[in-house]
Amino acid sequence: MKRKAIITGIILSLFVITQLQAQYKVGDVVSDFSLKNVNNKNVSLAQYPSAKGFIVVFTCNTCPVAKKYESRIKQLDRDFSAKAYPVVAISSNDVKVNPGDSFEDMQIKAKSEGFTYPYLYDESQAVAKQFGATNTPHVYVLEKEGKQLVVKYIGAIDNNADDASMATKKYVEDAVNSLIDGKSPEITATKAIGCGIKWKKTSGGNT
Amino acid sequence: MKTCLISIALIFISMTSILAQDIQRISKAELSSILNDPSDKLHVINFWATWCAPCVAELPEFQKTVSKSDPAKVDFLFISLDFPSDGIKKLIPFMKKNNYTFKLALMTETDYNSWIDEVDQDWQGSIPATLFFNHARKVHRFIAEPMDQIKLVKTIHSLL
Repeated sequence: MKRKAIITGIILSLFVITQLQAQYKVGDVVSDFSLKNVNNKNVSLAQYPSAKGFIVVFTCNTCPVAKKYESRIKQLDRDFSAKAYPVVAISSNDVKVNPGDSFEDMQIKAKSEGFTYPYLYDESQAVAKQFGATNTPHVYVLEKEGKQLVVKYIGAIDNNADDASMATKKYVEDAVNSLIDGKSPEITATKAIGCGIKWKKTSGGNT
Repeated sequence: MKTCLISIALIFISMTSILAQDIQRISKAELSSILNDPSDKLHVINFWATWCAPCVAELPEFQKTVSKSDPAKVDFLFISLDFPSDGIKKLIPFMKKNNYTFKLALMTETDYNSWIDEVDQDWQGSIPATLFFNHARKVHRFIAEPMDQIKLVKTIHSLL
């Protein structure tokens, strides 16, 4: 009886641990992933040996907030890929819920908008779940520490979705600049209003 | 004929000004004072935007519930997070087209990070999201996902 309880306890705690690992917090070590890019080639973070870090952006084609930020995401890549912190964009929306977020639509968008960074299709939504991304756009700034990638900032790009010129706090820019200067970002986590990631509907569920 | 046209124009102007006045704006401080209301009343605050498809989809059900509820017991407020640059322009025809009568307010504070945590610590910022609270009865429920009418009504009843 006692043994059974201990085993149950171990199983439960393992479950809790995996749950916790599935959602990154600042300071956590990130596991690499491999996702299909719009050019049909898979991309993983290990393919960037010279990168000092990454600006991982969960975004999509259709969300009006993500659209508002599109030119700012491009600018981040222009500013920071040369400084070894490239943008890696990921779309995790379920196509059945949001038909405009299909892989083909992503390819069209990347081409017409001239994306200079990978735009990856997280079809299984495993990477969004691994990171704990909830909104679009939702940014994770990562830094290489030895062989590990560590989360340094999670949240919004800046503090004005409507108008970039009105933003008084540029969270991602400031965080990456701090890392480049060898410092820790002052603000490490923010929240923002955005479209929720469109999760797959579980069969039989009615949510 | 001329006076007739003028009076029509005047009626039209007064109507549009009434409609424009109907879209209230809410500041961070005003939201904060509502969130801290100590009175024994169930507040239901829905955060939405015209650009958010799942938000727009749940509004007809919410309107039905508002119409059937006793305003003395439940106070509904619908806070639009439409962009301030075009929010009013979108909200006026939207409310009119759908015959919505619920209490609406356009959020003016776009530095979301400065007030999201005050609504609920666990809110990551995705909408739709609905907050239910009655501080007099220590009630606080936050649902950051779409709800149908059954879930909404059940939630309200369980908290009254």
